[in-house]
Amino acid sequence: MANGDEQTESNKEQQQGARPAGRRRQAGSKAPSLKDEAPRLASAVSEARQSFEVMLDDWREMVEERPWRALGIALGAGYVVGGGLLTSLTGRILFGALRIGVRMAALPLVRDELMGLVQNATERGRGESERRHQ
Amino acid sequence: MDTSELGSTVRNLEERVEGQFKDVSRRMQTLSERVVDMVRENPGASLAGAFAVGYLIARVARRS
Repeated sequence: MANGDEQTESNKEQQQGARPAGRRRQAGSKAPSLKDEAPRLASAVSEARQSFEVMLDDWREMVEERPWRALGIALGAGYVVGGGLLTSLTGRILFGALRIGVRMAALPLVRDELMGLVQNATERGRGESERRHQ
Repeated sequence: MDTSELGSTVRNLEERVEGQFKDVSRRMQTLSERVVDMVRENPGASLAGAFAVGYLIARVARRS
């Protein structure tokens, strides 16, 4: 029984000793690969930083050239993020924009028609008053 | 009402409306220039403000 106990104890120690060694070996095998990856990681980070800076420059340029557009985009992004896309307000805005667009398109036609009517009326009025004077 | 009277009335109305329209457009242009200057001076704050306004509008629209 005592021998058996000793054996099991030694087995446990071996197992316990084996596990950290295995881990160390695994970590050791990973360490060089991380070292190899470090320059790649650094270059990826610098690339990401550069592209972020380019994006910021583009944004600054756009804000400089078209400030109203930039404000509209920011407002729209806030509206979408706030969850306003599927609300009745969106429908009302779209419907209102459509109505204004139709009116703007029809306005020159209506104006031309009205101007023509007024011109005809004034010419007819002048003709009548001239006839009366004669 | 005589047709000549109608014509003069329409012309008067047109002049008045045109004057008002010019006044309003001048004011809008001044306001637009001020906003553009402000956005160019503080782009980050202006865009963040516009985003916040859009977000608030959406929240209010969702509640109602």
